[in-house]
Amino acid sequence: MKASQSSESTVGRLTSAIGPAALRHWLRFADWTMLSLVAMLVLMVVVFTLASPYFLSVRNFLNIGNRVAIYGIVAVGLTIAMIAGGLDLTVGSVMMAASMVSAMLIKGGTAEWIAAVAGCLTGLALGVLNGLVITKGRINPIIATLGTASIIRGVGYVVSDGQNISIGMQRFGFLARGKIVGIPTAFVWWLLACALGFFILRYTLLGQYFYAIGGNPEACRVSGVRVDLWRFVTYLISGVVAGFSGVLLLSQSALGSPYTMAGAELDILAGVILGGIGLGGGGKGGILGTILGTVILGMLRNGMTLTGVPAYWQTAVRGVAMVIAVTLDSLRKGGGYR
Amino acid sequence: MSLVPSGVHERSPFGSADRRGSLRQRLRFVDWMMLGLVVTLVGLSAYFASASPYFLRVENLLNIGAHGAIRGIVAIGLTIVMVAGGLDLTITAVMCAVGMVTAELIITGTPEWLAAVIGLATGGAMGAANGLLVTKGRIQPVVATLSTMSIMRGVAFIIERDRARGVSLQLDQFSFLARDRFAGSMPTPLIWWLLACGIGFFILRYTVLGQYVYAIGGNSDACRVSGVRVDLWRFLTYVLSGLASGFAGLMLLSLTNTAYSQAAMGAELDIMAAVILGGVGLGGGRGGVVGTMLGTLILGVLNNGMTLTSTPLYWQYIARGAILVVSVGLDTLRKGGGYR
Repeated sequence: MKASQSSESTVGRLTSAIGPAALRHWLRFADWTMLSLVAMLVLMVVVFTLASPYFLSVRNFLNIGNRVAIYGIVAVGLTIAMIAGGLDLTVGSVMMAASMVSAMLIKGGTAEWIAAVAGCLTGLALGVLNGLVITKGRINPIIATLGTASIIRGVGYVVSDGQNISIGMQRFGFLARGKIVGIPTAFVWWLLACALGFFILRYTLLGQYFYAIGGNPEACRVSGVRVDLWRFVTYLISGVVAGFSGVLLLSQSALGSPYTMAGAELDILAGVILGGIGLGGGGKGGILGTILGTVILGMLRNGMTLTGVPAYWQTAVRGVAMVIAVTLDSLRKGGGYR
Repeated sequence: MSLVPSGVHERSPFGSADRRGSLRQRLRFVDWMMLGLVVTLVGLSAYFASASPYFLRVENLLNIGAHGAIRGIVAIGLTIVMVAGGLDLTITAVMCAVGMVTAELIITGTPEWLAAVIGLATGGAMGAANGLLVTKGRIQPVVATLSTMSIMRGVAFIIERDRARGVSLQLDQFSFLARDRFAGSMPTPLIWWLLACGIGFFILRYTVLGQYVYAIGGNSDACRVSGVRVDLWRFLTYVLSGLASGFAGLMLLSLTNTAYSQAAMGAELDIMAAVILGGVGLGGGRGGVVGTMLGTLILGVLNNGMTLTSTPLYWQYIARGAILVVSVGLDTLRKGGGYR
């Protein structure tokens, strides 16, 4: 339950930090992970603004938002699974499966909204599969989802015979291709997903259980919390969210491809980890960190492209940024891993 | 903490004291995991032998070995890291970067052997960087190596620059390491693999490093209190993994004649699957080189057999995933425990 002293208290104490005593108190309890992420973001904005005249504009920021939206939505589901001490490496494969199912249905003449629902249900079903393997089979989540990811991807290849399914740009654009009052629709979905995730983690019993289980599953079990049930639920959530993202992806690209999002798990995971959720620990972190982590990685990519950093430098720069971030975070905390 | 089950000593690394005893006693000490792997391997081979007349030919069996060799060598390094309770996701990125460094050096006129040595040293240095992050930076191995993975892959991208088809060597360059055949017919990669397995086996079974690796993977806190320099030995496992991956990268370069910045991308999960299949748990403290060899062979036989029986390539993904989940599931069910 360490999460109770995360950014909520930061904001609260920021406003009440007037006197020196209050300031000292605040400094002690400030959420340094969150602060350093914000500092990193501000630094990036300053550097890129100085380096490129195109960077600091509403249009570019909406562009960044639109680019990272789909990854950002998946990251919300992954965050929940990881807070509860789990991990879901199938998200990329689930996105692929959901977009393929929707694409096939639309191609076969099904109503578009039914196809969208079917895509989400595909994600749900795959989440059930992961949850069962992990809670009933008692297999470590990394191994379990590594295996199911391979299976899901394989079924995708077999069913589609390796062929892309194009549904044409005229159809299925309503979910993520357009704009709502000038804001890209995908961006709006991302904000909604974040708000929902924030609400679940902060204000519901479910969220409390997730943090508690991630913090100490054994203590939860002896106090009568149905650990397996709630863990199962996190994989359902992660599955549905990934399924929905897959449907959004189809809406954006109008193409269902069995190759899509292969390896994207690690990119999405990078954003979540940058946001302060460690592996193996669980029980801490939250949606705000994940949003910051996702945005930082997205902005880094956007800024490097705008400032003309050669494409072949970008991977290394991203890696250096991540190493610096996780090292600082670990050193500040006095080291987690022993 | 909860991701990683606390290390279970499945098998004493120091050799079993109970070599003799009644049948029942001996049955209790049979390594069921290893037995299951052998049965799986034999079963798969029998099936493919009956399904394809080409499977059992010597040429094909050598072929399986040659193809499995590069992954197999990387898997040995990963095994040592994982037995000590760590994890290294950079293995294929290191392979790729080392290949790229060596290829660039060879094109610019460095003697081949010197380029290979520098490449290998690069691999060792990259492993050392991982080791430092994990032991000095106190970062979770998964997080640390996920981060450095981008840097190492990035090094390959930077060297490759705009050459869209990678860095190609002349046809007659750098063939001695893996392309030439040994003693007329033996594929050289197979020899290297056997050698790597021998070295890995020796290290884990007969050296101080090996003893410490098992002990640290089993219970790092207990080791620390008893005065074992946990960080030092952990650091060494990452250096070894970097060297093994680097050597595999040299072999890949020698075999394909080309260094390509996307080489072996994503294969780290395949290699990890082979190691886990072979009985190395994520918690560390158990498993070994023989299991890893069997795991690599099983996946290799599966690939080869499915190709020979003209099974569509895509089924391999399903089979690989199913084998991984079922075998690990059976193992946990048998032990009556596992992830909680």
